[in-house]
Amino acid sequence: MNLPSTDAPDEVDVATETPEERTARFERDALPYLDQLYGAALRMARNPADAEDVVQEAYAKAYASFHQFKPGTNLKAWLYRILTNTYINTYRKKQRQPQEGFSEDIEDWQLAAAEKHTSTGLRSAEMEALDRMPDSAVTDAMAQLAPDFRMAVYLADVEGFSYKEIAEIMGTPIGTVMSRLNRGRTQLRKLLADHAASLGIGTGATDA
Amino acid sequence: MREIDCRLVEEKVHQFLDGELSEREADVLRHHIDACAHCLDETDLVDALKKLVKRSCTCPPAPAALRLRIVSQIKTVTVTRFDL
Repeated sequence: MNLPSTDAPDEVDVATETPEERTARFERDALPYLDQLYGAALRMARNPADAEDVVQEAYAKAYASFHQFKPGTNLKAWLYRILTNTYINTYRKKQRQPQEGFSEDIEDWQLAAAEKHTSTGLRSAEMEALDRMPDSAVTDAMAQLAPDFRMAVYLADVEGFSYKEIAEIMGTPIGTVMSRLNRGRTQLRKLLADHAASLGIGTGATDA
Repeated sequence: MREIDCRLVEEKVHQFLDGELSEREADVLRHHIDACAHCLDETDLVDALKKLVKRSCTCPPAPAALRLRIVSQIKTVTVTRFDL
């Protein structure tokens, strides 16, 4: 039975560690993930100031509970979990404010119906459109996904986490991870196809 | 038979590309995909989408000021605890 281990398992006795030792260990082990966590926070929060706040708060929480982290287990996933929870809590606090850009309104049945009618000719057009898609169009489309979907897609495709790790990070069963990924990617495809169509590339109805 | 296989690919294509299927399951899918233009296209599209997301989401490094704030925050907490 192998425990997930991204960090060298060092002999640390968390119980007898001095605060200075713990701080040094935190700086050495947790701080190197700062750039990655900030990148994830940028995708979640969608503006740099909020991203910085979320990351700073997440690091404060991680530090405060670092004695509970079991050395040798998956530190990166543990930090992402704290970041995700911090973001979700902040987002819930702000939920009374009007939210823009959530894509729950793209009904799955519409996507499924569209999928059924995608001919092979349109598929190659879609591929061509994806090949030519500018990065900014992709990040815009990502930002329009519901946060849970965006996060699942981000953690899988950008960070390369396994389903098991994403489940731990998001605090959901693996089945939920799979459905979020599936729906998130399907919505992303729809958004990108619409974007391409609006520019007259690829999958638009005007295709001959 | 063919339709059942296509449906299976449609259902499992994400797990397949994410490396979440067992070797045996992946082989079954691969066997079908290799012989089915529809499923090959579909698999290529999801794969292209995954790569596109990864490529486009390269973020700038964390601002130096944020790093400094976090480090000083940690140090402050330590000192506070030490004082107690």
